[in-house]
Amino acid sequence: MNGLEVLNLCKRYGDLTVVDDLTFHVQPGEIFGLIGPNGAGKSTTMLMISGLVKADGGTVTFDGQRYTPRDAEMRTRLGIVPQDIAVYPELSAVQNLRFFGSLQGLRGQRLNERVDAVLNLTGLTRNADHAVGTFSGGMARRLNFGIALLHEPRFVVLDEPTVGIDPQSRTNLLDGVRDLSRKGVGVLYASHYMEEVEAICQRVAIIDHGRLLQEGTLDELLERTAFDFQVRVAALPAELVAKLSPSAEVRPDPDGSVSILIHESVDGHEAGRSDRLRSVLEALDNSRIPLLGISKPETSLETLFLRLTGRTLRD
Amino acid sequence: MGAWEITKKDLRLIAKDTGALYTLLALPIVFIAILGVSTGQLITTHDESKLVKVGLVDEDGGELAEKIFQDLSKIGGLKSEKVVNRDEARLRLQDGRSSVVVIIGPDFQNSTDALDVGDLIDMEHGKLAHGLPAIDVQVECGATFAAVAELVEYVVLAAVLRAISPEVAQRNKLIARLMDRIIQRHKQELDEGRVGPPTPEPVKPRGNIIYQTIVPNFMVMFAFFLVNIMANSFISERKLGTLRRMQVTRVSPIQLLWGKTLPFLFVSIAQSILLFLSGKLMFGMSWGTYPLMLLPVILATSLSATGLGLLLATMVRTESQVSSYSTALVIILAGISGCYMPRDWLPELMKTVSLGTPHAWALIAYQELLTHKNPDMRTVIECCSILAAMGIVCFAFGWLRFRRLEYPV
Repeated sequence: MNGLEVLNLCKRYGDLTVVDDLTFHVQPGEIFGLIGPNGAGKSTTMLMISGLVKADGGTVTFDGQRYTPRDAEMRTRLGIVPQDIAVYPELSAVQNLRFFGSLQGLRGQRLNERVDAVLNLTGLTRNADHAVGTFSGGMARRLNFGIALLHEPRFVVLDEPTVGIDPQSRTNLLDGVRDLSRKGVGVLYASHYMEEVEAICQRVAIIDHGRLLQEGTLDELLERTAFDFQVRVAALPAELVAKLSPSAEVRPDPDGSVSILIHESVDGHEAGRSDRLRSVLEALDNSRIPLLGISKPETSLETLFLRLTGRTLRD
Repeated sequence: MGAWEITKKDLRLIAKDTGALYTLLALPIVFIAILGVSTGQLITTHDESKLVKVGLVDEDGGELAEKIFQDLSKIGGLKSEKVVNRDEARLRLQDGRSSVVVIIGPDFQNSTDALDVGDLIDMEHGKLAHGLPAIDVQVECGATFAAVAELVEYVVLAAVLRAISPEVAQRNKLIARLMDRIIQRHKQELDEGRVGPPTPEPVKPRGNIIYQTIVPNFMVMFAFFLVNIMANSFISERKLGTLRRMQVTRVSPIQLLWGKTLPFLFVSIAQSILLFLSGKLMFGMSWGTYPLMLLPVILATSLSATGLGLLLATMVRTESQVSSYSTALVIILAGISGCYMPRDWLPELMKTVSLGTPHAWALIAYQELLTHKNPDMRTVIECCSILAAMGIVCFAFGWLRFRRLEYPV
């Protein structure tokens, strides 16, 4: 199979399972989004794909060939953009690029060409000779991104590459990712930013606690949440919240009212969406609680993400 | 090729790190200068402060007494001064201006006149059986030399005998004739050019002896300060994420490790050469009889220091660990091995224990080359081999740990 294939990947630290039987596939030229809350296992997955962390199970293949990190040729197929800005602040941008380029086996004219191309792509040509320590966060992030592209890899793995940068740098970086896709490079893009993933990714996987929760194109994922119902009431007594909870999600709204959300499916409650809506309305009527309104809220990747991963704060 | 790129990059980073350069290059020179000035009296024999100061009271006033004074003045390591009287001499002993006082009493000439050849030959039973007091010469030592008073007395006795022996011998007619004949023969051989006066061997300047000890001692100690900087370099790469970034390039693990080790080997060699140059130019030290032989010792010492540095770098995970472990390691090993003082001052047990440290072998090799006129090259080669072996063993363990920690797949 062409592309990057992750099959049944597992990682455990003692009793804690960080990545649990994770499977997905990134095709050449595709931008595949990997989203999940903190501690979901995104970075560990990235590190296992890079060969920097040993997987306890599963395989990673590139174009049908099992990835063996000890094989230098195999390593050059992959470009890694780490979450941290992994560059030398004391050196200039061009020194950083020349150094990492030479480690990728680039020499002479070829190295010069690639360094110039990356400087141009990342918009750092004017600051090429400045020490990276003097760069803004956005400039440093762009350089961090550019280094991974020096050797023109077939697949690029980006781990939250836009953390803490200004909109201009973000746009430049996302344009760069789209450009890679156009050139047939497969991109695995991990991020917290839903709008970025919505903007650039063709397919998305949502993971939590190391497990794959949903995977598909953006349209497919949004389709699954399109038929949710929202019933709004002024207030809801605690006993009624307890009664409704198995078949609906109850949450307070910013204006002090309460929303009762009836999703397409709820874990452990197989009754149809319409049946559940009917039972909620009956319960409210029996308790003589007036309705403020019934609607189908606009769905987004973020809505789906929060529904799947919950609202509990993560460390 | 990848290793060389990493080496060049690290050399560039070290060159920009003024703190590291100060610790490795400037600090040892400052240390050497301060310790050279402050502890010079303890070690040097060249410095006037270390000479044995002999105060001579001449109550006799004769030619022989004057000759004794001249002879004592010619003995290396002694500084003779005439003192007016006994009271003044004892005062000088008390306040340390003199270490030893020699008093030639008023009865000295009469006592020596009474000596014959037999007294010189049979000193156990003759008039000199009771030593110098028999000819009215007294030797008194100050606190510094009290423990070796007998030795000092022997030195003075030798000078006295050298002065009085020809005169006493002349009193015996037979020996006087024999001596005349020997002197004539020597004169004739000299005139015919058969025997020339002994040509003095060109004396190589021994340099300022204190720096022969202090420079290598502190050079060895500071060579191992590299351990700290090397370990910090690894920590910094881990923290920045650049180590992982290098790991996913074409560079193999061994190339990466070589690339991270070589710059510190070069720095260590440069540090040692610079310190020897400074020692010569600033402190007047000598590079010994075979200066080129210093190079293998420098190389072997640097190898062991970088090997140890690599091992530590693979054992620590945080900057505070580096700071505490490396400082303790550097200071303790330097103390055990005798970097803070001449190794000769160490007790025998400590000398044996110190052989477990690379510092000790480096010091032994440097001591052999810098303080011996004819150094034993076997000792130097043995030291170099042991240092290199220690470096290789540390590197091997460091390599194993590096593979296990950084390349789990």
